[in-house]
Amino acid sequence: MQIDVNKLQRLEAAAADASLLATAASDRLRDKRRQIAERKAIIGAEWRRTPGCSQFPAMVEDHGWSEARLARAHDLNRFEHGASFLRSIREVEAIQAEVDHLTEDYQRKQERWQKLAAPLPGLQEFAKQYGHKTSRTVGVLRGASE
Amino acid sequence: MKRPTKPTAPTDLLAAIDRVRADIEAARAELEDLAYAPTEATEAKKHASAAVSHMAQSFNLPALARAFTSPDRGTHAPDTVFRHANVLDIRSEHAGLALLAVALPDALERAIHAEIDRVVGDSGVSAAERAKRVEELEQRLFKMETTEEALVVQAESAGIEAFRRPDCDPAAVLGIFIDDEAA
Repeated sequence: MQIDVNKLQRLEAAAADASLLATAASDRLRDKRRQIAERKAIIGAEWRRTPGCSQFPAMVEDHGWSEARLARAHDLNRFEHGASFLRSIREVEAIQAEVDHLTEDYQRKQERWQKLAAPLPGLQEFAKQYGHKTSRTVGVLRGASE
Repeated sequence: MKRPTKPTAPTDLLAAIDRVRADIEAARAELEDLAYAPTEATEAKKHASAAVSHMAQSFNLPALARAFTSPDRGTHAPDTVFRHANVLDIRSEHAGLALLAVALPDALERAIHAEIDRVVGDSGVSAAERAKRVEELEQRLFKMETTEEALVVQAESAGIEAFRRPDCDPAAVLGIFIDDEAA
């Protein structure tokens, strides 16, 4: 039997490209997660420094960085810095939406890479039996949590 | 490679891939069932009779007789005689069965045959039938795998991503075949 080596190389290349895309998505997600963590820390520090804002960290701890949940639980307009507090919450919510979007994007790309790479070991082993060298590297994906 | 009848819409293509994959799974299950199907009763009984005969032959009666008639061993404990007289050509834990095969071969055979009838009934498969069915199934399976690969390639050409199974048949994916229609 003859082996379609070009086809195998195409499949290997597609998996390697998918791996690069997934790694890039993983990097973007990690950067965005870092950004939201830093922003939350800065905002929290500002609240602690500003007189009349000391209750905000506890409110966020109870209800999360969610304008809807905080508004349901408290009348934020009655606080001196209520409007500023809400702006911070909205800003973090917006970054969180980006994190969610990037998480989905990363998961989609990682799944695609895994699906493209999954049949390769069997195909490469088969080609090797017929004396064809194959690329063993089909992409090494770093975890987004790194 | 022979192309399957072309479904045109993406959903048709993906549905066709799903269908052929379901067929592949069913054929694989059939192959597995066949691998575990018991051997047909007549054939199994032949094997059993041969085994009883082998057991009986493996029990070296002349050696045992010589051991007991030997002036220096005849007075030893029976287990010592068994151990030193090369009475068994088989592992010692089978000695009981071997002895039974020597003393009551017909009864042992009858008992095994009856158990074979009870276990197998009419569900057994002869070796020839098994080999024939395995070959047929493997041919059918390979045909389905090549059809699946042709559909995946067709999907890719249409810009639809249809992933290959991790356990796809490499020969169906990478093998180069002569197109029956073009030949």
